[in-house]
Amino acid sequence: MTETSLFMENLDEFIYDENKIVTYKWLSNTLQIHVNLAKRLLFMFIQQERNKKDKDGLKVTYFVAGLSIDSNGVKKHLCSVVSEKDLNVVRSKLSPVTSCHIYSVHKVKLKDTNALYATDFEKIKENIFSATSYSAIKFEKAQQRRKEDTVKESQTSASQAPSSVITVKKDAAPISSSTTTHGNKKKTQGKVDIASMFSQQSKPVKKEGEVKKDKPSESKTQNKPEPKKGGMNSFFKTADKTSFKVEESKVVVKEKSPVKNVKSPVEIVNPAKSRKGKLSDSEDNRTNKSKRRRIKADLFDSSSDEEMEVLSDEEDEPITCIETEPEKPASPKSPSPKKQKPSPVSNIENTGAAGKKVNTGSSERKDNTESTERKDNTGSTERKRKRVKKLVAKTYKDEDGFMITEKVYETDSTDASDQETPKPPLSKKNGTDNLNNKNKPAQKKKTPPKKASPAKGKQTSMTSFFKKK
Amino acid sequence: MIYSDKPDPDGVGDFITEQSEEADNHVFCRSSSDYQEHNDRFKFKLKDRSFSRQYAHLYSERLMTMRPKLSKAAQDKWGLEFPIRKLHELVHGEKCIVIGTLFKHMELRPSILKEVSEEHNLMPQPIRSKYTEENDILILEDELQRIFLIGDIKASTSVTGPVIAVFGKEPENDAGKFYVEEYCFQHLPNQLPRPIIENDRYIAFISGIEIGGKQEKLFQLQLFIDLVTGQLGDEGQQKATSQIVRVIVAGNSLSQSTQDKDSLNKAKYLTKKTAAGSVEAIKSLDDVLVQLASCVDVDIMAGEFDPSNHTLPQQQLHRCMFPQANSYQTLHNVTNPYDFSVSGVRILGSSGQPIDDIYRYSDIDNRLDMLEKTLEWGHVAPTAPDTLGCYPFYKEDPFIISECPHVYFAANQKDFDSRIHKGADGQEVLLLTVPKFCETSTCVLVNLRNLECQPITFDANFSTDMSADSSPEQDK
Repeated sequence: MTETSLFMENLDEFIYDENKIVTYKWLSNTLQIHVNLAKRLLFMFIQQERNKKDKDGLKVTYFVAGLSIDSNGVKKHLCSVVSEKDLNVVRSKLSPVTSCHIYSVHKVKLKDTNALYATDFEKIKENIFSATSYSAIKFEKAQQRRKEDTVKESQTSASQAPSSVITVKKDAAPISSSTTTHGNKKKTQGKVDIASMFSQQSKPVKKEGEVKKDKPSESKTQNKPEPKKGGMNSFFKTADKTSFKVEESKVVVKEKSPVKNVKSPVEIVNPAKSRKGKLSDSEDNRTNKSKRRRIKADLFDSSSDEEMEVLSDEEDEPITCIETEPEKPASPKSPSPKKQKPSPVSNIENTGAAGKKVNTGSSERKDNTESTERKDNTGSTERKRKRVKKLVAKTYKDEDGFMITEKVYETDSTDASDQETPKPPLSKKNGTDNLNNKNKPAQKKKTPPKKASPAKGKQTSMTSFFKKK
Repeated sequence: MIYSDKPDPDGVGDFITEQSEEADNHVFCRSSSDYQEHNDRFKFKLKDRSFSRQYAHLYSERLMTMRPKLSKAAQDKWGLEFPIRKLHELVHGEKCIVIGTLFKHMELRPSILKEVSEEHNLMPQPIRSKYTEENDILILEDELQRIFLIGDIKASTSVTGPVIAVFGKEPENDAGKFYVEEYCFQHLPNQLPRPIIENDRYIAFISGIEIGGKQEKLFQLQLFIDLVTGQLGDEGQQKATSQIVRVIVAGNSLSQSTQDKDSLNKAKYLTKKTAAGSVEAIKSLDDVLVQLASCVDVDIMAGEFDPSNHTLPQQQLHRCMFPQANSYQTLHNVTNPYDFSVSGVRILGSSGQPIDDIYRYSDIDNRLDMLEKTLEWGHVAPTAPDTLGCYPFYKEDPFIISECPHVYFAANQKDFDSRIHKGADGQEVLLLTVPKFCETSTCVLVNLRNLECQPITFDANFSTDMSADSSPEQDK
């Protein structure tokens, strides 16, 4: 009985002092008692108050259920929450009445059900999984899944996911906190699906990944991909990629963007890698490495002049690289860079860019190599999403008051299907005589990587169209 | 037996009377039941999906599968003396039986070809509720030819799609038309006898919750959850509720307004940061389902406005949408249409799209009549793929009714209605239309023991009459 009196005191407090709307469900969840006991308590409270004083200031709503015949003559079971004064009216319409108990007690008069719904809703949201633990019906089969069960489900459903999922999940399980287990599980499952999604794409990357990790990350790379690059390293180190994922933030969306950012170094590395796979010469390794470094630098740099000067130092290497390229197998398009090389150079001369000509020429040649690399690579590796450096014209005013249009690289993620359409940027530039055009090298950049497969017949014809220029 | 026409409740009003000796913490165990799913023909395997096929395969499959059944039905009805002819073998003036697919030619039927055609220069047709008119013509198509049907067959109550056997003749003076004297459809397939169930077992059907819409009835929905999970009600009622073994959420759990189809037309840079309307709604739905799943088996079907594929058969809503509810093993995501059996009672039904489509293309008004017709025709969605979106099957037509169900339902209809359909071989099918919860706040309980239905309506009425205050506080 003392327990009951304790509850009654609590109830008194809730209703009078805190002016809360006390529904039976709210009471049962707060005091952690059975719902029926809560109903009983509410009734007892009302009795008590009404016996004590004449005017208690309490408003009561009842839940009443029973069989009723509606206008169509259909017998239906009506379950209704009514205020006290309507109770008898509604009760009289139901025959027989199957339930009648107190729904809520409060001091305020309610105009509609919103307040009732809100109190219960807040309580439910607080502990969603134990919302029904005080109900009068229990179902043994309604058990929360264990983690292994979710793993099995994700396996069967994501039929394309690699088998490393299970091991990954078990790694994930201890790491993730228990309270957010379920949410994370879904997210990690989502991540696993994403992993599976680009695991197929990045499989060639993975193969050559081992070499990648030896390379120091370039300073010129943006800061953002840098920490992720560390993650990518571990990605390549271990067979199961999701350990890397677990360390990352648990939000799937965020995960997508670092993945995308990471792709750029991956892509850049990849061209080099694939060639590396072919060549066994250490010399080529060296040239590859240096080229890689240079390429990375070039691709990541902004339109600063310093970069170009730095690059001009390494003039010799690009030239040697170009010469080595024709020797490589599976480069049927290697003549094309050579062909294209003179044309932009000549174009540069045409536009009359002063001073920087030599630089641009050299860096152009360098860019030829990049483009050839790209071409080769895409011929040799599988098609995948590319983070492409798009050539974008940026116009600004110089100190002298000249309008300068510059072509700079901007990274853009393209679909694997959007192979770089060979943009002849020079054709546009030639038309603008008044502007001091600095031709950023590597219009070559945009020459499409030729697909070895004949299925890309259209593309080849497009490139042949541009080659004529 | 509270949930029946003659309830005999006990313990009513216990909680508003003086306390009895017993403690108030009875816990009832929910009855369990055997469950079997027969949905395999509706599910797609991920790798096999190909939308580049033509729909002709579906029709030919349908005709091929149903031809033997129809010839049997035709011979049973009209005897063996009349030959079953294919259209190209027809002899003028000879009475014979022809089996083919019915096609209803409607002038008002929206046709994309007409819209796009430049010579017609037509404005797009306005959306009407019914596309039928008096001049609609029925045509019978078999594998090779088609022929007009005139005579004793009404175009207004037919739709395109069912396979029919017609008895009549091609008149000599009016070739190209077939004069129909009688017609018939396949026999209702055999039905496994319903097992005798001793105790009451109920299945609760709820549809059209339409969360996120203007008409969403969240309080009534919460009442439904509280009732099913055994919180509401006196002890007698709670005990009866513990006999609800399954809850089927039959489609349109999200509202049409959560579908933001405009975002498909907008440029990506405008819509990148905006969240879809369905995200919040799915979260609310997840909260609803987790409460239900903690206490009862729940099957959730996709509906017209739910985030699943548009064409029939709609695939399961993905588990990842319900992270909380999926932590319970009692939540099942199922296809639309849904075919399953509980305790030996076979139940088949859809979220209502086939019935809505038949409403648009025929003159039948009563939804239950339409449901009955589809049972007679032996096909869950006869208008697919003509006017109802459908996947281009080519190996089989999964909508053909080959095993007679005991309960056949269509959800998201306007009203609750039910009828027992008796078949020629003694089959008994309960036809059921489940009303939209957002409009009627009504769910349906089906008793598996005797196939009785009971609608349950949830209500909340507070009058704002201020004069009847029992305790005016200003006096104090």
